[in-house]
Amino acid sequence: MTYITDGIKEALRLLLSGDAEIYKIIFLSIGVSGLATLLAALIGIPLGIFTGIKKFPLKRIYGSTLYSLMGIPPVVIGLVVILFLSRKGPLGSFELLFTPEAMVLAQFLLVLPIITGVLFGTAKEKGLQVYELSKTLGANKKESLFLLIKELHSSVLLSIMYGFGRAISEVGAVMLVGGNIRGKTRVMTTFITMNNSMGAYEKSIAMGMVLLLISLLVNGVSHHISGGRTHVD
Amino acid sequence: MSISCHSLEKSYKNKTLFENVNSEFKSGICNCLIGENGTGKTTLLRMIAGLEKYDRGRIQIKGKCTYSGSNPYMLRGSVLENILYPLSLKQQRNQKDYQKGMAMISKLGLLGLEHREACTLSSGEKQKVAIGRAMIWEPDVLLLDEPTANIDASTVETIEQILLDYIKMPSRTLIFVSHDFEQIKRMTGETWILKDKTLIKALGE
Repeated sequence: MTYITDGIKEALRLLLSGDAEIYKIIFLSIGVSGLATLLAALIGIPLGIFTGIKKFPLKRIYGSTLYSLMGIPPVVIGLVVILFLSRKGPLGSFELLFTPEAMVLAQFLLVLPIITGVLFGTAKEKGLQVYELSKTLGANKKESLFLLIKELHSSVLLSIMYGFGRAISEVGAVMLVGGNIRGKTRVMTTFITMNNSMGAYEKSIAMGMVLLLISLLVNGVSHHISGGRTHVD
Repeated sequence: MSISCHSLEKSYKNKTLFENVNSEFKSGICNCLIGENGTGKTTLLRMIAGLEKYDRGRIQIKGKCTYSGSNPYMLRGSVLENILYPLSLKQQRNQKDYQKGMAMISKLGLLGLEHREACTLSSGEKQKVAIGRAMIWEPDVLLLDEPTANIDASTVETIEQILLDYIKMPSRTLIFVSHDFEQIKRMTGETWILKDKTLIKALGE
């Protein structure tokens, strides 16, 4: 049991001493996941709202596919990105494999269905009512869109929080496409996996504590936004 | 006349809802739409409001048109903010709008609730807010789907009087759906019956 308490003490020392490597990994993790979530939000929010309120053929199949993609294993996303970015792949000439850009791409693909799916589900029920109300009270398309975002704002924020939470805590995709290269593509989850396999528990615990703190923060904000509800309204 | 329907046809999930619907709804009077459940009363109102497509035919409307359903959606914010929403679309709200909103709230018997979150109201109060929100925009055509269905009996006649006052202006038309025959007698100028996939005008009582 002492190795756990020793590990926690060492973890606290590492964090409080401002260890450069640890902090570089933390900032890279937040940067990669943050950028991936931002890009996914820019596409996913309007796409989710638009497809949610529009009637089109095969909408039910589209919805089912979207919901399935929300739970896609990160390692599968990583594999797909590798196939495209490897030298023999269609995007091999860009030489993006084992770079932070490839990690952003993989996490973007992971988060996009989450943000789109949450907004699709909300807009399908509530969004159509809001859109029809604005339309029958004389709003133009721009005014309707503004009202939709205002009325669905808690779902918009929640989808971003869910997406970011999923991105920062996944390990499969970033491990495959980033390669866990020290000083270049090493992020919190790959760092924990590597140190754990080497028996360096104190470093794993230190990073685990930071990851846990971020997850708690993200969940706390999500909980606050949703007003304590367990579902998106 | 401010609304006319010509040879309207509508099918839903391979079921014909309307065939050859022709009607002219007069302005300045109450047009009541009745029919059994599932005959398409709500669909017809939504088609006139432009919320539902139809397969064939033509609908002509003169002026602004608004629709309020039987279970109206309340926007985030207070009762007053909901009522003032249509006025805030084209310009910044001013003191005059505020006074207009408060007058509407008073008329609907909602005084004291103006700052309450609209989504916390009862179904009947929500219907009153929806009626006020629709009327404050001063549409030429007011389409109401069972507007007093959830409103208590003591205030139903007040709402009916508000609607009758609203259509005193000859350019305005009201079409409403109701299952309450006493109400229809009190309000109606003309009654329209949806039956056998078409719309017919009722004659006399």
